[in-house]
Amino acid sequence: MCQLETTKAILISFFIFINLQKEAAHVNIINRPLPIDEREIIDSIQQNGAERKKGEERLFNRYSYFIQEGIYKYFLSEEDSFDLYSDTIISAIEKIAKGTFEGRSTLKTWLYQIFHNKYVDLLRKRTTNKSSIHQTLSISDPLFQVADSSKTIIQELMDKTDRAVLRQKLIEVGENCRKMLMFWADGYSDKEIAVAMEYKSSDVVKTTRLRCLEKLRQLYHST
Amino acid sequence: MSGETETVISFNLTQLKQMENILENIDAYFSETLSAEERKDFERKVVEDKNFAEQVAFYLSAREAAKEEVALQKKEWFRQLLKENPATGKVKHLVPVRRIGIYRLAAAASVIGLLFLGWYLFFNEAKGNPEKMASEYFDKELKNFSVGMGKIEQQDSIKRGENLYNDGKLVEAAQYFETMIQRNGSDDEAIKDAGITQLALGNYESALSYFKKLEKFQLVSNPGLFYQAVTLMKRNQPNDIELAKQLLNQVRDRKLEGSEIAEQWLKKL
Repeated sequence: MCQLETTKAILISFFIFINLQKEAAHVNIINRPLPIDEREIIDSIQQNGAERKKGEERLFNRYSYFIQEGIYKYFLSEEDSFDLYSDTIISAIEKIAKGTFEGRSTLKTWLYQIFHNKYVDLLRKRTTNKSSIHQTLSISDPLFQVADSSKTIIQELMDKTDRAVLRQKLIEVGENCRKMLMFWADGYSDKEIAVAMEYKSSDVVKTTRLRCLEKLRQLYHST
Repeated sequence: MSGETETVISFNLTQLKQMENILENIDAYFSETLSAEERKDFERKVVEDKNFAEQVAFYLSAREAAKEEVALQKKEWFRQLLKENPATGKVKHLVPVRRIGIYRLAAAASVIGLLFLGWYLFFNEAKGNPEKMASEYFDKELKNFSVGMGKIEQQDSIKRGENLYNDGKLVEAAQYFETMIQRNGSDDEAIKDAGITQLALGNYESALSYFKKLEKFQLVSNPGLFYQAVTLMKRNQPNDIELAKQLLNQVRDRKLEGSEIAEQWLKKL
């Protein structure tokens, strides 16, 4: 075998070796268990009622130093940084509760990624001077599952909805309906709502919830 | 209760029931409890029935509005939490410190390796790669026999062998030339062509053997020594290059066929 061929073979073997190492490291990252305290937070948030609230509180407190990070690194005001962090935690809670956090990275790394992405969104909003931008639908958004042909129609109709009025009507619909609809929007299942609000069964919750929605619709259209 | 009032109430209840059914259908769609067929019907209805589409849009908008309320409430709660547990002033490094040491090491090693390789190849190129030099010579001068080579009386039979060689039928050409040599051991052209054919086949020992025979002939222009040097350079086994140099020196000093090329090569080897 000539020298050039030998050298080529050595180089190729070397690169294959490096790639194998990377592959092994990547597998290690995926399979590496989360730190115990992070695991506990995730497990709590995936529970109902008081346990979930405890988990949310722990999550918020544990990484609240992100707010300082937003001030010093992103040059945000304290209020903006707080909002950014709060939105991050709210988004994280939703994903954890739904089970879409896969644990490929630590909770901290994942949270920081969300935090940074929201910061980028904030910058975009400010630079384009738009109050609302059609962002790419995330997989957790209900509209994501709708076929494209219907999605556009629904999105256009949603854009016409006066969200501020709707939120006002959410107060007028009555405390019970408001609470139930908020639980529902927060990702609680009918079964979980039944436990939280002490209803007899999930079926009763479902019927009540849909009636609350109808009531809200009538209130909205009565303006 | 008057009949009219009863009708109104009955109509309202019917309407309410219809609305509840619609909402139930919408709820089932977004809860992913509908079958694939039902989902298609639902989506078709959104496109075809504007009223239905408005119901769906409202359902989602209501959910979004309620979600915003939840977010507001949570933020207020977070504000309370922050007051009770103020975040530390110390800014921690949040950028995850990945253990990329091994990759940096690998990358550095690759770069060093490539630099070394480049230097090595460049150095070899400048110095002269014997095998490459011999191969290039072979491709340029010996890959094809030109028509009309050799003594007139030999042309007819040797041409046949050379044609076989030029057609790529190397094994047949080798056999042909060997047959010629067996018939006439003094046929220097056949010996030369046999050696070239063996070189083309990569049978270096056989090629060397033919060229050594060729060397012994008293010819006006005898390439025997030079072709031996070319064969050794192509084979490139231990000691081959040293031997080749010695032969090239002889070729140059005795001004044999290939002496000009031998001189050039000796400068590089």
